[in-house]
Amino acid sequence: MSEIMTGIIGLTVLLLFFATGIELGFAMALVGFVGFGYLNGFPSAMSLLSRDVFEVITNYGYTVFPLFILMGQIGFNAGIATRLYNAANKFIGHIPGGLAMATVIGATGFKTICGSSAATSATFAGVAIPEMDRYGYDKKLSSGVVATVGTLGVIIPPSVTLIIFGIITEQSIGQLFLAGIIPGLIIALLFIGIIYGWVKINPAIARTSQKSTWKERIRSLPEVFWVLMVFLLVIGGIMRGFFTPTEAGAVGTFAVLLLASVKRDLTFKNYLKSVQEGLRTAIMILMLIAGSTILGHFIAITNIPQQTAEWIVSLPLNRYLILILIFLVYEVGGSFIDDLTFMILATPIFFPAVLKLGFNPIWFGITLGVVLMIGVVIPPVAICVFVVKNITKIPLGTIYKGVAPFLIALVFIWGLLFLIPQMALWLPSLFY
Amino acid sequence: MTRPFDILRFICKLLSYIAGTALTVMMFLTVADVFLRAGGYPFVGTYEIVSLLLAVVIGFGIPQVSLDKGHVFMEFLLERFSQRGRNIMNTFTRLLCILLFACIGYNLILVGASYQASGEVTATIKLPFYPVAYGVAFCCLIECFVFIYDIVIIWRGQYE
Amino acid sequence: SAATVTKLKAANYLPITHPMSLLTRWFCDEVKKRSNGRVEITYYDGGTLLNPVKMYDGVLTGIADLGFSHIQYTRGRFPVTEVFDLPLGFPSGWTATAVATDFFNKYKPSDWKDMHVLYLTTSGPIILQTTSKPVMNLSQLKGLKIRAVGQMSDIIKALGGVPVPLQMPDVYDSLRRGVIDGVVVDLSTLKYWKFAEVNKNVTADWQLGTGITFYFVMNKGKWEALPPDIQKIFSEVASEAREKQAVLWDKMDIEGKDLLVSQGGKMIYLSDTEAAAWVKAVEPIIGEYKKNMVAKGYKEAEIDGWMTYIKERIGYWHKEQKKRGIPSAF
Ligand code: NA
Ligand code: NA
Repeated sequence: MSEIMTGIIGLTVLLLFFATGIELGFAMALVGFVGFGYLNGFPSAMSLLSRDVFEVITNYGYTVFPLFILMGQIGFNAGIATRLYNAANKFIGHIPGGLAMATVIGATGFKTICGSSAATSATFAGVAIPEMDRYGYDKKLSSGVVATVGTLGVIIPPSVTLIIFGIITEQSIGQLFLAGIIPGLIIALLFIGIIYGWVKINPAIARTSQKSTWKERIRSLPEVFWVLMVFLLVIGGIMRGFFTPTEAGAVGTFAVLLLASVKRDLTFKNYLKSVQEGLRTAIMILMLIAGSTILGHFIAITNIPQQTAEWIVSLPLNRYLILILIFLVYEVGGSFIDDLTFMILATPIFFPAVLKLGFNPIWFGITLGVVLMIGVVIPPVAICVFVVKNITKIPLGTIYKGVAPFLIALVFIWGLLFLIPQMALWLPSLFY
Repeated sequence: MTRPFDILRFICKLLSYIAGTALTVMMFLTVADVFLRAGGYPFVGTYEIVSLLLAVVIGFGIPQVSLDKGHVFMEFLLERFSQRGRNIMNTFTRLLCILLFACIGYNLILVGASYQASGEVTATIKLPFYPVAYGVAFCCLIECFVFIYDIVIIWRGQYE
Repeated sequence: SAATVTKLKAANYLPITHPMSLLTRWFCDEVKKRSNGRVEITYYDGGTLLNPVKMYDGVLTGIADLGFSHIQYTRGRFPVTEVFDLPLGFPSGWTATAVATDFFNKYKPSDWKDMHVLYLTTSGPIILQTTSKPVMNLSQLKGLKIRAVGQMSDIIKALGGVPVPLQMPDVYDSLRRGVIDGVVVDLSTLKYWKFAEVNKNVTADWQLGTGITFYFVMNKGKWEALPPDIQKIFSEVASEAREKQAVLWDKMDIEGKDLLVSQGGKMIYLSDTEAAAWVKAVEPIIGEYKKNMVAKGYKEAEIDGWMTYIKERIGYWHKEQKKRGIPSAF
């Protein structure tokens, strides 16, 4: 059986496997393991299996998962999240969907710090959804927001994705960072607009509060003053270079822990509970990543990415159509294995063709970023959606009803980037 | 059969407490390093200790998460099966998972042995990798027992 | 006939655009060409099959059949070859590669007994790059936070700096934000890791001359299964690839240096007395290595013999490089 055929059968089996109710991460590991063994011999597949797992669980960068989720859980169990949402409600609760908008802004800022879409969704799933629940927000809306908002940071700097893209393709990372800002902010604004429009059309999905007086608003501030100070401290610490975004997880957790202890909001029992929750979610995410790493290595040796790329590039089509096909490959590939992994796999193959077709490399990087954002939330492997489902036990169908409008926004921006490349290229053109 | 499973549950809990402790240590160590570095005296080993601690956090926590059904899976198709069909399907997937973790665990022992034999250590403060590899291998073994436990309770009608 | 085509997999962790990744690709294509298609090597770059840490074990266990990485990713695994991690004064990658080849052929380090080594190549000297604070002498280095891993972190400490180990992909942003003040790497990173965008000062402390030793290895079983005429082709192409790599080190260093200067960065050269002070400051590192090796059962005289041989070869090849007119950054 040819390598490509093996790959196609492997992926088909994987999809069937998903339906058996097996843990997705384990299914990916199994299919990757058996497929790799079939093509390259089982002794090497055994070695691959254990080393990929060991590698994922000793990867320093992945410490962001347990640490940021722990920070969120401590904040939640100490009642800090409740106070934040109470205060936010005083200020913008009277705007339709106001609390969901606040969540978008908060999560975008959070993603900028922690750099991981899945960690952002995980943290906010545990914190923001229960709070929006309390204020009578429909689960569709609250879970949809949380599942998609984590993706924003892919193109808002600092973004690991853009750094790696820059190194693979020899593009200036500084230019890529600048290019991502405007599309990133437009997407954030569009998300806010969608929330407003959705609640306006269907007021039942989010209870709108009475407008508070300025006196009430100001009275709510002391409650959240210290929390805001902690966030400013963390963001400031990163900006000023006191610590890396990865370390910020530990610093933020420590600060929140300190704050909660001083104010006697956190019992030891609640701390343990927070730790268990941090562990649970981090393990769940890392098992998906480990599985998709093993699967990715199997896909790599099937040569499917290379063959598909060569075929597409050779098609006698309009250059825009070829580019759209290229993006579709990223979408499908990134749906099975980790988006970043797939980008590293596919970009070297496609990038020369993209240049030959005459597209601007910086623009391509940002547009690709939007494609990857879409990939994180669409099936079959939609890590951000899984995270939300797993933490909140909200059914997938409900979450997708909530994700849909935001997904449409992402596709819309993607199209807009095609029509107006200046959206990405204008800002860097001022500096370079 | 209850007694061995009490022991299993106890071991999973214990391992997950070790993982939780590792997470706490990871946080304090990183914070201490950030402060010391700001003062010009960083603790150079932090990065490597934290990486190895992550293996403890994740590896040692896996069995408890499996026991709690905390991993991501899809139930939409399974829900349409009869109880008996579900039991067969779940048993089948549990068996595959036993196979998977037995392979991972067995090979991690080999990986640990090769680290031990070659003397490979972390780059800067030269911590050995092999104890962590052995530790995670042990957790894979426990994970296999969790799946066996699953199979037993599936056929006792206590699963889910 | 088609039945006798040997199919192999080669892995490299460097991205496709990196000249050293292109060189591995050249190797694969060239072997196919010269064997008239009897050997086909599928090439996986950018870490898509094996990352640098897993490379050696991956080739050992057959995940890939050939692999390219360097020894600092797996500290302790190649104790004899790690002598090249010491500040021995390699002035250029061309010289260092020639010395490493001689050393390997003369001493046949037991580090590599399980593997067929196609070639070793040692990089140009590891150089100090800083963002905004120029380092002209040791006192200016004092307290600066410098990204360094492994042996280099001991060297930075000995020089009075504060070593900060970070993963390579995190370095760019950490420099940009000032988490670290600089990094010690070879000059080519100014271009190929984009460091010229953030580092504005380069202190040419090549007199320390620590290189990074890369290996291109092949699974022993797969090597032994090749017929002798094919083995001969592999060895010939490997030897040519090593020579190309040797020249490439200096070329990439020069490219990095030129890029830095063209973007307004500054090259800082140490005076002879200053350089001597730097070399003296790192002397204990060499003593430390000897002590560790003696503890592992090597004889002190043996280790001294390696060092003497390396120093002698550096002198020889450095002169040879000048004589042959091979351009070098320093
Ligand atoms: Na980001
Ligand atoms: Na997806």
